[in-house]
Amino acid sequence: MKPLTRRTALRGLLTTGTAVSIGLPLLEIMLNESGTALAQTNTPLPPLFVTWFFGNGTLPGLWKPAATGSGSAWQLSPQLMPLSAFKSQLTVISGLEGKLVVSGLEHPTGSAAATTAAPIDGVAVRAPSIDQIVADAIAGDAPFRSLEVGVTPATPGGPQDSLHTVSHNGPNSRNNPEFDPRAVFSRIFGGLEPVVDEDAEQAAKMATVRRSVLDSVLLDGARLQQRLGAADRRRVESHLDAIRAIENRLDAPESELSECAELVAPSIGPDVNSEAPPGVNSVMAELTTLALACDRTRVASFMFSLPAAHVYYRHLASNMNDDFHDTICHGDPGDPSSQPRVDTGVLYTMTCLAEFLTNLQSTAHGAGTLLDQALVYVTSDTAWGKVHDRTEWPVLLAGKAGGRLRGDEHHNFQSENLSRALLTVAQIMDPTVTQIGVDGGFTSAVLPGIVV
Amino acid sequence: MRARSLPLNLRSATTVGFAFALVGCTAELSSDSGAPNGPGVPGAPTGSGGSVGLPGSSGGSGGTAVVPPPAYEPPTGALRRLTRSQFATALEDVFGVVVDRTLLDSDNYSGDFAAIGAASVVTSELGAERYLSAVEAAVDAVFTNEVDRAELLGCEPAAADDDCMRGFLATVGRRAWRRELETEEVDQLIGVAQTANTELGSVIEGARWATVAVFSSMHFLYRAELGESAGSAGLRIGGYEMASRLAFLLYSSLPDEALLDDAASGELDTSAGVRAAAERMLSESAGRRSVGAFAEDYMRLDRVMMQAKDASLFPEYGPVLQSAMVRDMREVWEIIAFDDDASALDLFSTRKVVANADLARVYGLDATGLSTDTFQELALPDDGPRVGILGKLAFLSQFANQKEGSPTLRGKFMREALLCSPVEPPPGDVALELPEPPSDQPMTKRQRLENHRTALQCAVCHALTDPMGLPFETFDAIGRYRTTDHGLEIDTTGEFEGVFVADSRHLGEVMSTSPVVAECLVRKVYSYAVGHEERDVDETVVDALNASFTASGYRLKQLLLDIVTSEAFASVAPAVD
Repeated sequence: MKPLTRRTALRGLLTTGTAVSIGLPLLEIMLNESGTALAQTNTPLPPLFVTWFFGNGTLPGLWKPAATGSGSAWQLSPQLMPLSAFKSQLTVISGLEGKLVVSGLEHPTGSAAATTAAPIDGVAVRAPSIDQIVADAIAGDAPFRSLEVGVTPATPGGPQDSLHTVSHNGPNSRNNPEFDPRAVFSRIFGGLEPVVDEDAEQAAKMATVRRSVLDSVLLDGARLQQRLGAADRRRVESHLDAIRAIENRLDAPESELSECAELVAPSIGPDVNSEAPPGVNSVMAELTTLALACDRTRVASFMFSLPAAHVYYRHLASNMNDDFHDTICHGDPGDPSSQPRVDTGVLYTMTCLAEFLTNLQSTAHGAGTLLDQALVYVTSDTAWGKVHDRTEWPVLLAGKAGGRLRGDEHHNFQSENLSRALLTVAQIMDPTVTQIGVDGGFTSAVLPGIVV
Repeated sequence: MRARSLPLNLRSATTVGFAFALVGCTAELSSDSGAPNGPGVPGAPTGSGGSVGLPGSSGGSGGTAVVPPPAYEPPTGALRRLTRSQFATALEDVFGVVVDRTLLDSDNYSGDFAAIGAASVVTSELGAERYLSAVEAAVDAVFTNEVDRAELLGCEPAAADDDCMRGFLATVGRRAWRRELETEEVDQLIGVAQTANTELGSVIEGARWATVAVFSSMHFLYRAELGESAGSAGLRIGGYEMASRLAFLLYSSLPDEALLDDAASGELDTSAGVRAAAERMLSESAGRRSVGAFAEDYMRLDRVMMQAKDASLFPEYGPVLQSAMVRDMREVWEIIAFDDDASALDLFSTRKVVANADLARVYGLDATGLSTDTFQELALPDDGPRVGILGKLAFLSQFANQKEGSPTLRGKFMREALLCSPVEPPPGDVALELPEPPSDQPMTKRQRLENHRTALQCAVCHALTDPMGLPFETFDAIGRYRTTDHGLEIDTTGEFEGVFVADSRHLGEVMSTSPVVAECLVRKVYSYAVGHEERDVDETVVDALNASFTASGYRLKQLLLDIVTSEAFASVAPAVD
């Protein structure tokens, strides 16, 4: 799909209450002639990363494309058909095995395997998740190091951290998804509204006052750290890092993109019935796209549904009003190619992903689109949910990652460690990364033939 | 976990030898996920890969050889972040606002208690923002009200660094940080006040923003309980650290001035002084939270607020009913412990409820005179089917999906939380078939779960959970009473620790006389109160607490007093670097 022209790029994108009059997010005068780098500094356009996560797995027999190869050599499988408009942007990776999955704890260990390349330890993960590894490299000077959003909060409610989010800074350090679109908007875009002069003066005074409060908090933190052992010092340091980031954002947010200051807040609230309603997906997809377009962040985790989500897709069909995890995935008879109600849920999920990819594809960015510049890592907490198959793990890369991916490819690596996909993703975003993972999740072997 | 005697039905399985091959589903195994998080503790927990506790096996303290228990060793001093409940209650106490706990950074449930996970949790950036917002809003509520503001300040500052301001910051700082402030710390806060005064042209604004700084500080948000040297007695928690520890346990909030004065005068450096302070605190209305906050953490009342139910089946379910459920559970625990001063085991047989109109209707009680906003203590009928905390909606609805209650999940909570007996997770590679029965051949849930009891690989675990959960089938997914399931009469029978029960009321009555339940409650309250999972080296402490709890007739106030005056509550080991 060709990017829309500048004026129409984002108009009409946001149909759920966020009015937009935005043109090219990156004004052309800022780019060099080929549109690939910022003119003044000649730094390349920042790459972008999104983990797009969905719980409860797939039907591997309907998810895995029959043939490998590129272009016309391979076709989309039935469960990937909702993404047909984006085949040229997809890199499907099949055959991988979640070797860290532990019987009885499949969902928390599967979530951790697919996003941290590490086992879990009690309720804790043992390593940072891929979005944070990537953020280390690409977060740069964007106001938010990363953004975590969710569509449905449906959860089994177990104690493990890896059930409640797929974004972790490390052990016991969750980045929880925000499920309320209004809260996402006010956090990411609040304070960007253009202010008239008197208000600007007042705003500057308030910023000075808040800065002095936060400086006091930082001094307190440093004093506290002197009394603590190493592990607790690090915990406090994480909190102080957050305070510093908040303080940095207090500086008058002069967005070069004045259009980003004219956004109207969405009116849609969170999913209170654990249904993953399409309206919430739409607005969260738009907000995430805008956050990237406006350079509020370069890293996002979009949790369409959480590991083992007890979601009720009752809006999809009258026979879908059951617990998708317990009743449908685990209870419905069938095989890895046939569980009709599971298929309905997966197809809906992929349709929701397609909406996000459409948003990225519709947003001009440099000489191309956001999708060209992005790597969207799509995965789940299991393969076939009924028996928690750890083989044929769903892994899909969408986007060209600024030219590091060719797209329109299906690669098969039968029985290889799922961690290798994470290493491949990490290395695409940061070529200096050569290894990833812990214990059985450790690897230093990138998957061949994927990275340009 | 220490050894437990096995239920009779499992012993019969082991003689077959089959269960022996299935290492899971015995009572003794801790989770297979290795060492717990939190402060490094000398004396690692038992059970990690160790004894399966089958009759005749070695390991644990249940064997026939008499091995003296290990001596108590204190845990490493910890840095605990305030739990959502403690943070909110503290702001509510100081500023009189209501804080939405669900907006705060999530608690960590390592060890099954937020009070334990508090020692491990790391604050996220979003979490840090939320704390700052909550504090600003709380301070704003007071500072925009002249009367409240005057009461908080206690004087009228004329300048940002005058004696009034200094005195105010020293006082509010001492309360918020649970210790005297250093001169340079007061100076630092004065600096904030001066900046605000300069920018905003108001000394009152100076006081406001300095107050925000006080409550945004790490010294408010985190509790360092690191101890001080007590010579050969190791590190002792006394003085202000003890005041903080007592307050967050017994008030779920900051210490008051009386307790801070006790700390300053050395009263809290002795067990007798701690006892006197604790007795005073437990006699105050805020002291009821000692039991209410425990109940909230123990029974995971936080999860109740996050649930959804099928709106067409349960139109009465929503935030109003959910909040009422939580309040009913908390307050009945408090009534039993404080107003009735009754045995804690009465929690399982009590007919008491605290209900608003919405909850009363679900309970089938007369809602006359009640509204959504008014709560009253009411009594369920003596001859009715519903008794005890397990008859309350906060328990029944929590272990249910959007449409149906789950006998297995209810029974699992009972076994793990109330009997201190972990249940292994189910084997994940079993192809479970639970098709919906055809509409002309309906089945009850019990009938549909028949496979769980006949297939031996399933029965090994389900025998531990389902017999206790099935009597609760008379309560649906939100806890409403019912007599039929899919049109068929419900079989209410079950079993508790080898005793046949006719229904859930009978089950509650049996539990209300169970020393096993009492002993488990002691272990749970202990680990909650000291903020770490039970270890081998806690055995002597727990045994003593158990004896005292039993002798007191299972009085929760007595248990709390015993805990706070124990050596364990006042001892820590040095941090590792």
